[in-house]
Amino acid sequence: MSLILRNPHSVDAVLRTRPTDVLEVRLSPNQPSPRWSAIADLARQHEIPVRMSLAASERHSTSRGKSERVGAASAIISERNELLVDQLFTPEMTAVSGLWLALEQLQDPHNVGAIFRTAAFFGVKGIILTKDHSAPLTATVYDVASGGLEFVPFAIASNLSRTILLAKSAGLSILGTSEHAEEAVESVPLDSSCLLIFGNEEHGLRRVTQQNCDRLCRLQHQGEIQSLNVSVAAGILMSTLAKGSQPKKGN
Amino acid sequence: MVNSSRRRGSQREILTNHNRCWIWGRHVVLETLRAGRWPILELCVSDQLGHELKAEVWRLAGLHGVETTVVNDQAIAKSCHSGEHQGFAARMSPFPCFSLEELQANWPANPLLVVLDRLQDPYNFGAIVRSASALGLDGIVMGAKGQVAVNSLVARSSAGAINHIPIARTESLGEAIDSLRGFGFQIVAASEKGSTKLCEADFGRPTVAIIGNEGDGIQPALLKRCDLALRIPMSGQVGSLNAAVAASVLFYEMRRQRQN
Repeated sequence: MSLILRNPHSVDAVLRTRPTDVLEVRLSPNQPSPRWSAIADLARQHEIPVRMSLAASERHSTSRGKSERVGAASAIISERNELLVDQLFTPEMTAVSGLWLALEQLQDPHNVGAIFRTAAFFGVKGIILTKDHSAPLTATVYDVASGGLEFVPFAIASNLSRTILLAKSAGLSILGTSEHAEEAVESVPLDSSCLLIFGNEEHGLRRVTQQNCDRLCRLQHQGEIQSLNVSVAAGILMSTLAKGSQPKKGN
Repeated sequence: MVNSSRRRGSQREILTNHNRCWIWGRHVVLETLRAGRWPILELCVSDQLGHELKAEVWRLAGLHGVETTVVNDQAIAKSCHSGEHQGFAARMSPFPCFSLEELQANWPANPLLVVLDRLQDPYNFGAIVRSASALGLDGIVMGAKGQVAVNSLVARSSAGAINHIPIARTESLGEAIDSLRGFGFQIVAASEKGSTKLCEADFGRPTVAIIGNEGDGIQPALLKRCDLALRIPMSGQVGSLNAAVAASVLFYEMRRQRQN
């Protein structure tokens, strides 16, 4: 299936990682921004068609859609193929310790995209999304991820319990997140690879998933006034766990 | 003749019946009504509300002297130009920001503040307000120019937190930072090119963190006023953090050090 991306950062990432999947770049008839000009140059090098987008009159007729901004450039790409869950936990993948994420029934595409973006920054080794009741990987997710979807391998699991078993047998410890957990993330020992699981925005982790976790953790100060947005909480947790896996500084 | 200010829609204070004058959704409207700080000009609630919720709305509206009308859902959608109102919409006056002096009069001992330098995206702004409030920061300072105003999008993405953390607005961020330094604050910048790692900073003393514009970061005039430029160490190969995520990681570390 093809997607129309409008964030130049996400288009740039596709062009650099899998240029054959960029089907077309569309520039606005106005002067394109320097970033889009660079994308057009790179696309031409790969012999990808670069077109001027619709003429002003035609554009007017399509401008009813919110995302159809006047003068906006875009690119048509093929979606990135997911891996099988098993492929995320091969001996090669798990040879060096690191962090994996599972997103259980996350429904807001902005949250999913934002988590991919942060995961790319912190070098997360793989993300598992649940098949049911989850936001599909639409163009919005790609654009919010700002290239993050190109750099983090992902898989879609129809059964998260099986994923957890696979991860456990690959030597990962399973860390669920819940604002009602008793343990703060800072006190979690970080001596092995870890699968960090986030639950649905409203209901959190399902009970069966909580039971399958080795431990549940929360942020140190969460829940005093109101809870944090899940993608922000995920960012803080990833930053804390990534820091823990680096040589420690005195504090 | 083109009036340049017309293009910067979200930076202006809007007083007409524009949908950015309206906030909608049960949680945000009720939070705002409860807090009683942001003046509500007109409150519309659905005739479909349950008995208890209706009683709560009447009690709060009476308490704060807010004119309330009960209408059908279509009328609410027409007023706030959104179908996601959950039976609540309120037409707001411009958001009442504090001055720096008012902020100072209320901050506790050893405060933690954040300065926003020309944030453009109302969703980022709202997310930063939400995190700053949830992580217990003591106030937000924003500039008057080039900064998205507190509007309905900000209110919604803050999940109502704009009612719980003091927000000050100042004509000159440079002067505001100079006077904060005079009060004994250290000034830190969050910057991808920062020379100091976040975990190496010491937030034991009063601290102001500056968060820059999504595109070009912190303006040089403010950057040169900073004692430290902090970066969040990247452990992946590529990428950058969203402004709201970066700000929240910074706020969390500030709060964590204080707690320890």
